[in-house]
Amino acid sequence: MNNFIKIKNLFFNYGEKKVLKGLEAEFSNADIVGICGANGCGKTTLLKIISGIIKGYEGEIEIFDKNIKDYKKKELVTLLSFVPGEVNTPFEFRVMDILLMGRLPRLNFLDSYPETDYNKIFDIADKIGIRSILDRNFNNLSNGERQLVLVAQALIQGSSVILMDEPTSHLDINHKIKIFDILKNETFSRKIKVITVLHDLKLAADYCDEIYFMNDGKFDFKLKPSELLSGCDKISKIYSISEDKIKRYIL
Amino acid sequence: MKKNKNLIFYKIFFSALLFFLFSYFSLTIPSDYDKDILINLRIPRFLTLIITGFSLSTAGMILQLLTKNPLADPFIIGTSGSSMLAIIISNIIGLKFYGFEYFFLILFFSVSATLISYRISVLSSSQNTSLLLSGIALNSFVLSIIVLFVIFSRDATVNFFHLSFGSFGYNEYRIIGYSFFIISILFIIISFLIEHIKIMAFDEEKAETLGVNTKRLKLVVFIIAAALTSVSVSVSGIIGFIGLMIPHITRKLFSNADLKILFLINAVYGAFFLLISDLAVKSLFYPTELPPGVISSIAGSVFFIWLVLKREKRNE
Repeated sequence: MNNFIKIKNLFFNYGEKKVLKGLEAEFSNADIVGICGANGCGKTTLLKIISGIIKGYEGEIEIFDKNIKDYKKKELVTLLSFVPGEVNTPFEFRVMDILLMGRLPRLNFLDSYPETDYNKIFDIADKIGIRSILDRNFNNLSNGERQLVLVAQALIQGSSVILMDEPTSHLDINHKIKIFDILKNETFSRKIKVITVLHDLKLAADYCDEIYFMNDGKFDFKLKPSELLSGCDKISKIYSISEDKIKRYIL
Repeated sequence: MKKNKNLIFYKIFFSALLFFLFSYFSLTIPSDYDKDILINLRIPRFLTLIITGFSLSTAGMILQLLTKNPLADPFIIGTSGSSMLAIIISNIIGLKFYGFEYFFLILFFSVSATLISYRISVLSSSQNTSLLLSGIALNSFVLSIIVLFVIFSRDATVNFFHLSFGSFGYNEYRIIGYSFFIISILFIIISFLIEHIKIMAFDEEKAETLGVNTKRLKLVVFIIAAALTSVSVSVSGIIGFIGLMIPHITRKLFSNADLKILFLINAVYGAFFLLISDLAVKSLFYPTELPPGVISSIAGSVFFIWLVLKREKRNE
C-alpha cells in the first residue's frame, strides 16, 4: 500500500523558538496512528501543519503520494479533516448548525445544504449519541458533549483522513470507547485513516495500529501496541518519569 | 424547530409593522404638511437615515463575527474617524462631493485604518482588548490631525461639527441613489460570503480546514465593512455605536434565526433605531434639532458599559 502520509525534513519555528527539527515519518500500514509526547513538544503544531492551518514550514509533506502544496484547496479539504481540542466562541451556535458546517466543502456555490446532508447528520448523530442535543446551544454543553460534537463535525465532512487533537480528553470511558469504536469501524467500512494526538497510552494501545513518540522536535521512535511493554524504557525517557511508573500505568 | 421558525416569523412581522408605523410618523411629524418640505427635506432625511442604519449595523455585525469580538464596531476600531479625516481632506483639496475620486479616497482611508487597527490587535496576546486599544489610539491620532486641519483651514471648520455628530440634513437624491446602489452591491457580496463568515465566527482553524481562505476572507470583509462605513459617514457624518448595539440586540431577539436572515433583520433594525431616535428628538425637542450622533452616543456608551460589566461578571 502506498504511503498515505509521508513527511520529510519538517522544520518549523514559532518566532525564535524551534519547534519541529527535521521531523520524518511514513504512515503507510497503519489505519489509526497515535502520536504521543510530552506537553508542548509540538504535536498540535504538527497536526496543524499537515492539515494546512499553519503554512510557513520547511520540508515536504505528501498525502497519497502528492505534495500537499500541489493539491487544490478544494481537493485538500475533501481529503482531510481536523478535529481541534476545543473551540471557544462568544456567539451562540446550535449543534445542528455546527454539524452542517462540516458539509461546506461539498456545498456548491449559491446552493443551500441539500436534504441528504441533514440525513447524514441524523445518522452520525445517532451513532455517536448526540441526537438529543442537536437543538442545544454549543456554549451551554459540557466539555465532553462539545468534544462529541467536534468529532461528529469531522465525520460529517466525510474525508479520507481525519486528524485529531486529543479528541477524547474530556470524555468518560464509555464515550472514549464509543468514539474510537466508531473510528475503527470507519477505517474498515470507508477505508479512512486516522491520525490522533493522544495522552492516554491505554487507549492508544487498544486502538492504534502504530504509536509514534515525539521528542525534541522529531519522532524518536514508534511502537506497535504489542511492543509497548518492552518499549517502556524509551517511553520513560520521553516523559521524564521512571520506567516502573510507566509499566504500572500501562498495565 | 418548526415552532422556532413560526416565532421568528411573528417577530419579523411585528417588527415590520412597528417599522412602518414609525416611518409614517417620522414623515408626518410635525404636521405642517407641505409637499415641498415632504419631498425635499423629510424624505431625503428618512432615506439617509435608512442608509446609515443599514450600513453601520451591517458593518458592525460582520466585524464582530469575523474578529470573534463582540465589542467590535466601525466607530470603536477607528474606521469612522478615519473616514471623517478623509472627508475633511477631500474638502480641502477640493474633490467633488461623492465623485469617484472622493469615494475612493474615503474608502482608502477607512480600509487602511481598519487593517492597521486589526494588525495591531493581532500582534498582542489579548486580541479583544487590543482591538479596542488600537481603535482608541487610531481615533486619538486621527482627531489630532483633524484639529490641525480645522485650525489651519476655514473650510474644515464648517464641516467638523456636522461630521462629528452627524446630521441628516440636506442630501440630494443623486447622492442617496448612489449610496443605495453601493450598499446593495455590498449586501449581495456579503450574502455570498455568509456561510464562510459563519464558520469563521465559530472557529478560524476549522474554517481553514473546511476550505475557507481565511486570509482573503478577512481582507474582503474588512474592506466591505470599511466601505459601508464610508458610505454612512459621507451622507450623515459620524454616528457612533450603532454597529455595536444593533447586532447584539438582533442576536438576542432572534437567537434561533439563520445568519442569512439575521443579517437582513440586523440591517433593518439599524435603520429602525435611528428612525426611533430621530422621531424622539423631533417630538421632544421641537423645534431644536439635535444631532443624531448625540442620541446614539448616549445610548451606545451606556450599552457599551453594560456589556463590558456583563462580560467581566461572567469571567469571574
